[in-house]
Amino acid sequence: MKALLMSLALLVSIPAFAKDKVEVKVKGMVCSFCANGVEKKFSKREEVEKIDVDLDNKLVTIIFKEGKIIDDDTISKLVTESGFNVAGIEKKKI
Amino acid sequence: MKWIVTMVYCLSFSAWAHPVAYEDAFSFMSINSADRSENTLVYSPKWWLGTGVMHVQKGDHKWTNLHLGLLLKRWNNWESQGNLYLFGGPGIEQMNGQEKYFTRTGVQADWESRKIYTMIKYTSTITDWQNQESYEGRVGFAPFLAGFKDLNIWAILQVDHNPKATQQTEVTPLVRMFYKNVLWELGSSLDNKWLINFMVRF
Repeated sequence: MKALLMSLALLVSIPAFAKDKVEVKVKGMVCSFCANGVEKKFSKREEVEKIDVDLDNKLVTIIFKEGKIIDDDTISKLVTESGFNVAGIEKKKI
Repeated sequence: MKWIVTMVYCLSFSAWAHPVAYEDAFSFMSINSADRSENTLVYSPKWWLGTGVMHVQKGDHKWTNLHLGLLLKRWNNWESQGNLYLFGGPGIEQMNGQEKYFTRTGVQADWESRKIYTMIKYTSTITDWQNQESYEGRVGFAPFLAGFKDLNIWAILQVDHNPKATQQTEVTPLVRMFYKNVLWELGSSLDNKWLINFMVRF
């Protein structure tokens, strides 16, 4: 019984340690020299572990540190400050 | 007359650079040809505003002016971006121990996709003895699509037109390369004046 309860507790706790991944569709991001601003803006945030910019798909993928995330409004603000517009934000657990 | 001719030649500022960058970014730009150098440092406190200082030197003739760039309108599309800028600032011109004031204002529009780049620019320079106007244009293409972390290469044709200059129109083919936050341009005008441009953003 004790082993069963411990197993259940472990299973329930796994999602708490999952990382968040956010995919941001960005309009106007056609130049890698200009898109450096997006990378710089997000890289400066302590919540961010990794950022990837995909010019082909106009996609910015942000992987956050465990237990950390940035809300949608702040993501939109950071993209706007980089000179672009957000067209959509999709969140996933990894 | 020497003042006028050299001023027309030297006030064809930074045709290739956006007058603003992203928020909280510094841009250092350097334009160099056989007889002239131009260096500009711009800080963007907002993504629509650029502030800085520009220094141009041709022999012992120097121009130093404040730079203010304002993004009036930006069109962010899926496959392209267009921009409309207003820029200008007051400055001091120095030659032969004399100092004169000038004011520069202009408007710039550009549109680019991942394959095509275009830019037009009008600059007016007002001094206490005359007004100068200059027109600049660029069109370019990327021979291949490069990714975010790749070396990007562009072929560009630059045209400068200064109605009051001895040589009114100058055409310069050039190659632009950029990698991460560093950009270079190498070119030579049709009358063999070399051009080396450099820009870094941080």
